[in-house]
Amino acid sequence: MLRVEHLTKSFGELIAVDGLSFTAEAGKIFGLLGPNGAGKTTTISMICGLLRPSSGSVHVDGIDLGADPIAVKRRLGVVPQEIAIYEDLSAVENLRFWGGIYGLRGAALRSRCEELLRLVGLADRSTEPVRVFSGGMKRRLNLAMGLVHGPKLVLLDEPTAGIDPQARLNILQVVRDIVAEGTTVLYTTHYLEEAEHLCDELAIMDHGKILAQGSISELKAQLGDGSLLTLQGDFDPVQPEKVSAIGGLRTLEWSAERARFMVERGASVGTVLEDLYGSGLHLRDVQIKEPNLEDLFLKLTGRELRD
Amino acid sequence: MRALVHIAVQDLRMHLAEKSSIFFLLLMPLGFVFFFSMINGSGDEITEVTVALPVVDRDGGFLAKAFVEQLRGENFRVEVYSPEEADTTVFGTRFVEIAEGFTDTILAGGQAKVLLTRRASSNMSYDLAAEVRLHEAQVRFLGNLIRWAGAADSVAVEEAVEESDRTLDSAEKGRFLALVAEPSTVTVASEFAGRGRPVPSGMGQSIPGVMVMFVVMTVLIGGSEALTKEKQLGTLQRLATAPLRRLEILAGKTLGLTLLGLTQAAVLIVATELLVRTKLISMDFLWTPHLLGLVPLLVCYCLCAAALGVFLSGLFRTTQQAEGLAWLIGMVLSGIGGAWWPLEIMPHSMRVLGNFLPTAWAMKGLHGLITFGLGPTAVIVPCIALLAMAALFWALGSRTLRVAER
Repeated sequence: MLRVEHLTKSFGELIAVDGLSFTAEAGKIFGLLGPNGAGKTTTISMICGLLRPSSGSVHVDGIDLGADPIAVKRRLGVVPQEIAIYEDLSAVENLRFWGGIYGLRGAALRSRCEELLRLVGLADRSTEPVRVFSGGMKRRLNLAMGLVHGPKLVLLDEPTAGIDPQARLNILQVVRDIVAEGTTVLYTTHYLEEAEHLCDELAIMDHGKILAQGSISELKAQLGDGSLLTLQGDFDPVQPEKVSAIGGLRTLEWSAERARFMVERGASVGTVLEDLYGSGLHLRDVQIKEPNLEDLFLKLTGRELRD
Repeated sequence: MRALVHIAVQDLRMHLAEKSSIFFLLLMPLGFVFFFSMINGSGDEITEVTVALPVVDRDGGFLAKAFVEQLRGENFRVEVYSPEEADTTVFGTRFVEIAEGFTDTILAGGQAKVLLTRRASSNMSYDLAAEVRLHEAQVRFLGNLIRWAGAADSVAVEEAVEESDRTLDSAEKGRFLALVAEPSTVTVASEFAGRGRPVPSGMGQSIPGVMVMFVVMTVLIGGSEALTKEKQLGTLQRLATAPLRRLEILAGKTLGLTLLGLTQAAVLIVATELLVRTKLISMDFLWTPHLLGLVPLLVCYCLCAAALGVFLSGLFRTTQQAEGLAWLIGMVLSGIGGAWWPLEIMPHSMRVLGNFLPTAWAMKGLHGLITFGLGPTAVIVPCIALLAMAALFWALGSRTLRVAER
């Protein structure tokens, strides 16, 4: 449904997006995960035609965006990160206006508006001016406006940013519902949990580049199939080479106060810990857990996603 | 095209839904109309008023008396003051002074002087009428002098010239005064000289001026504020993600503002007509006789103001900037464009500057229709000028108001 090839966007010296390539399959959720400033919104802006790419191409449903932007835009539903709605209009008036832009009229428009208002849980507040809505309600309406014309591909740019848990759950459920109906979703977020639980495929971005991509299990596999060991203590006197000799242990991070290791499948975590104590480490805290995307991001970039 | 109209209609609805619209679109312009109707009365028709024309007769001779008679006429209130009375009277508007020796000088074949003095507070139109009346009186007086001299006893007149008019036979004096009393044999037709146009004044200036000012203010303030707000909210950018060309979005926004301007103009036209016809205000001013020229002129003017609004919106960053600067620009355009006072009385440099302002062209078109009675063809040149300016503003606006494709 969506094919992005070597997409690049420069603003003078700054390269915001650097040679991005990925493919989102029809009826799936493709996630772009990365910290603020990673280039996610710039990528979305190029796909929906708001920004002209410096190079590269975008194909939606087989149509080249550069060759026929109007045809591509007809297939797109865009939900921007910033809530972009008319505050003086009611929810239903906002939806009617947006539906009218896409050519919906009369009974078809009315029934589509009612359906969407029910879907996002705003049916009982549909005639109130939007300016009295809470942030979460506005977010839900923002989402509904991107769906009013029944697009084949929906671009969701951080749709749950800054809202309460209940509204977040509603939005995530709406995303699952539209995907169940065959819609393709490109979903950007910096929330690991969302990406991990929602997306079928994921690309991890930083500084305009994709660092890794694949299904969640494929990405986790890049960390290795074992347990993650995180140690806190005083590691100054000990050379990292000392611990690297311990069997079944792979060093991911080493600093004065913190060290992270992957204990490979088959190796005993207890034996590894004994060996670490034996190497003269002064430990204050030990954590053992299954690796997640945060760990992968840390491995790929050397810093945490929330930094 | 449907999407373009959809955007325009939606924008117009949102403008009209604003509570402040009732004040700016309806109450404030009507307040101005009422205000002007009070200070201007029913217009500037000089035949419906009486112009005060006091005369100070410092001569007292029979020719001075005859000249005073020539000044009298319909619509002119001529009161004669002796030199003693004049010294104790303050003339508030204007007065005519017949110099001492007027009669003797004329009888001696010399040049006699009549002086018209105007006060600063005097009404210019009335002063102009008094001046014209004075010239008419001079011509008629000279005509009567020629008739009288041609038929007079030449010996008696020559003696009188030599010995002053006191020796002139009272019958000769009476004959001259009788000539003056007769219908004049000299007809004096007075018209405005130069381009043959009077300076617009009264309701002919103020009502079109109110319309031109409120249309540009409404469109510039309402438009700039709304578009700047849309930029801030992101709705303008969101529109750019819809299957519309960038120029379609701009055209939709421009059309919306044009409709807003036309709504403002229509409100003023309908309200003024109703108020005049129901005699709620005392005005001799109707738009309907001019509709054939008025409609195309207003469409072009509103389009031009809308394109200017789109252009300015691209320059403003905040709604506060839009509100303040649009007010200022609207006021300047109204003042220099001749909405507050006639372009004709402005300095040459301001009139030249007016050629580059939409308000000035709108006023020219309206004066052509209403004040000069030139018919619908009077709006052709103003319409062309307004459309050219609209195209320029729109081209600039399409560069300043960026909605996508950076």
